[in-house]
Amino acid sequence: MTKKEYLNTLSNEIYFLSLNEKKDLLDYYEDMINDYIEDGYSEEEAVSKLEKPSKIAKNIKNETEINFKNPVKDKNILTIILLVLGFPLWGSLAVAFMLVVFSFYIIIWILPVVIGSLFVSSLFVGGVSVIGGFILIFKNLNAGLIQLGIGIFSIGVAGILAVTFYYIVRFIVKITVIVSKKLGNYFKDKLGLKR
Amino acid sequence: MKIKDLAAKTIKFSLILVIIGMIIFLIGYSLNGFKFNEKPLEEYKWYEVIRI
Repeated sequence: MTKKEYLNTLSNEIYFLSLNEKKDLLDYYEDMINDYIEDGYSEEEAVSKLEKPSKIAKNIKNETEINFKNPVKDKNILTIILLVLGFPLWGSLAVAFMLVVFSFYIIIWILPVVIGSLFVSSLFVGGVSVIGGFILIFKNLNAGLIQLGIGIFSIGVAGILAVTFYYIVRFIVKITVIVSKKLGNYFKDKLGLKR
Repeated sequence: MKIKDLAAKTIKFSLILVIIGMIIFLIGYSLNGFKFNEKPLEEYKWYEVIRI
């Protein structure tokens, strides 16, 4: 078994550990393999000197006595009854809270929507004004120049708005992903899904 | 081309368009005596987008 295979197997076996604990353990075993290799052993020999990943995982389980059952299942009956009876109260509060959060999220998206709308309208005004402006120049020079100027100006504004729109959307998406991941990890921790 | 370069070029080009547009507008506006000659709506042709 190569070092990579060994570490992959170990990583799968210690699925019940948190990310940090898992990383520490993998780093530890990787260092051990590297030490053996530095001492002149081949990669396979170095790996064979270590305990099997399944055994390591079993030992950790025994040592830490982690309860692998889903904590939700461990709730006693009284708690479950209270949760069910209290649902009209905490359920409505939870829904209200979620709706408030959702409303804030929608409000955040209003900015890119407004900028996007301004972009489309500027582009439209610009396009039509430039085309009309060229025709108008031959009929009425002054009016044609004014319209052409406004058209070119609008196209320029549309370009600036397009870039602004792109960066704002990218920023909001980035923030959304980060917050979702953090929330996901938080709830995973709370429900004990990570351990 | 990276998005950042593209964005920088777009902004540059847009600013040039904005300045050119303003200059052309000012030339037209000054030739018109710094005023707009509004006329009844019915007299505008399809290519006259702005009420000048």
